[in-house]
Amino acid sequence: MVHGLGSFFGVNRVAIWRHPGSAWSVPVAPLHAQVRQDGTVSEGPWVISPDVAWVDGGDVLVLDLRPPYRGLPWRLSRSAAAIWECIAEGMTLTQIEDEFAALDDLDVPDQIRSFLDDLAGRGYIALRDPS
Amino acid sequence: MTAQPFALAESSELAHALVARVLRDHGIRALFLKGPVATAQGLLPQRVSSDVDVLCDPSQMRQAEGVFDGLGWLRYHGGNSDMVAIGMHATTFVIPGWPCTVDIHNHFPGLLAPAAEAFAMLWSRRELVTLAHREVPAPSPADHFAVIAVHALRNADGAPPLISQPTLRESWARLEEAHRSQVPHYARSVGALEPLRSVLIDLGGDPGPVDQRFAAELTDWNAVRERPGDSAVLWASRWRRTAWRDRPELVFRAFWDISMDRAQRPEQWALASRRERVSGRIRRSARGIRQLPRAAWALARRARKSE
Repeated sequence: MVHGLGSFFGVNRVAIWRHPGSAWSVPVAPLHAQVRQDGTVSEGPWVISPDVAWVDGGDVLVLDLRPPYRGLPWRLSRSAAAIWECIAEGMTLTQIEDEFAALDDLDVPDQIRSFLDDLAGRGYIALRDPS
Repeated sequence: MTAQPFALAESSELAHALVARVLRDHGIRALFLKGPVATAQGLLPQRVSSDVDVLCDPSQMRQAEGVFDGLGWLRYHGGNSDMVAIGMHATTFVIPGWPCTVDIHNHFPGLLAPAAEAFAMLWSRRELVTLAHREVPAPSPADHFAVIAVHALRNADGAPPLISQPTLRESWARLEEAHRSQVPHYARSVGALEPLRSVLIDLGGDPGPVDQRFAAELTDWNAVRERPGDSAVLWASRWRRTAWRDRPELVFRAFWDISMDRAQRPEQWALASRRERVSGRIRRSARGIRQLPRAAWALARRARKSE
């Protein structure tokens, strides 16, 4: 099962067996709390939602714990796993982009923003409360 | 990209977090035992765990089973199986798509106090352990040692010396001194002191005065321990704990339910041919009938010795 988060990030939904009646898709929350006026993702930093469990063993596996509890973990590998770790460490967007600056690819910042936007939209991350 | 394999080693902590969340959201009190929980508490070394062990508030066991049924999680021994009714200590669920299983315990063998009493004690001393970056409730380290110890004894050969079991020795060594000193008192409170008496002495602990409560339960425990792996003794002790109205189901499960036969796993039995299942049932029934007198004698002998 492959979801369209881009091959650059190596994001896969782990799928062995789909039980009849189970839902693959994760509810998508509104993005407005996470985005700037110009439509791009906020500068951050973010916190990982308490509705998400995750383990890091090279790849990162992310599990949505919300009802209906039928989701299977998402596998984040390579760059996606690295960005997730950056988020967990409390980095801002600029800091995350700096982490990938060595790649010297004009598309990378856009892909990072797109990935963060997707995570925020799924409710997996939220802006850290400044207080 | 293709779908990635979902390894057992990756699944365990996530499954703990998922089960904890489901139970919490439904207001069900439960403690997570053994496996990665014990590892996180420093009681056991890191190793791959194939299941999630949960001790549920016995008064909420039916509710928990119903919640899991409602989520489409599958009872390992079949949709109609009722492990609680026949005195089994746990109901095993398979979460579709997950490589690990979930064992939800209504009591824990070796904790001889009434299940509700033992759970209340463990719950009152619980702590939160972080797995997969989420908190799950677990017994206190001293309580957890007692749980691990009775579990190790139940599955061990009955021959002494008990101290030779590396699991127990290592777990004891990993306990902080303050927690070690709590073990006898805590074990007494859940009825595990007598099962663990010789172990505690071997480990250098002081179990204190004999706990004379739970004599009948201790008789069953010792009978099972004397004959490790003897399923007839296990079934006979379940018979003693099962209400008359549930005994027909127990007889059915003991002699006829092929999914409980250890020659194959339940899912293998489900795929077996009709002929294989019938011959397996006949073998199981014949074995059960053959072993029954010996099991009854073993329990009776144990009872006489403990009087």
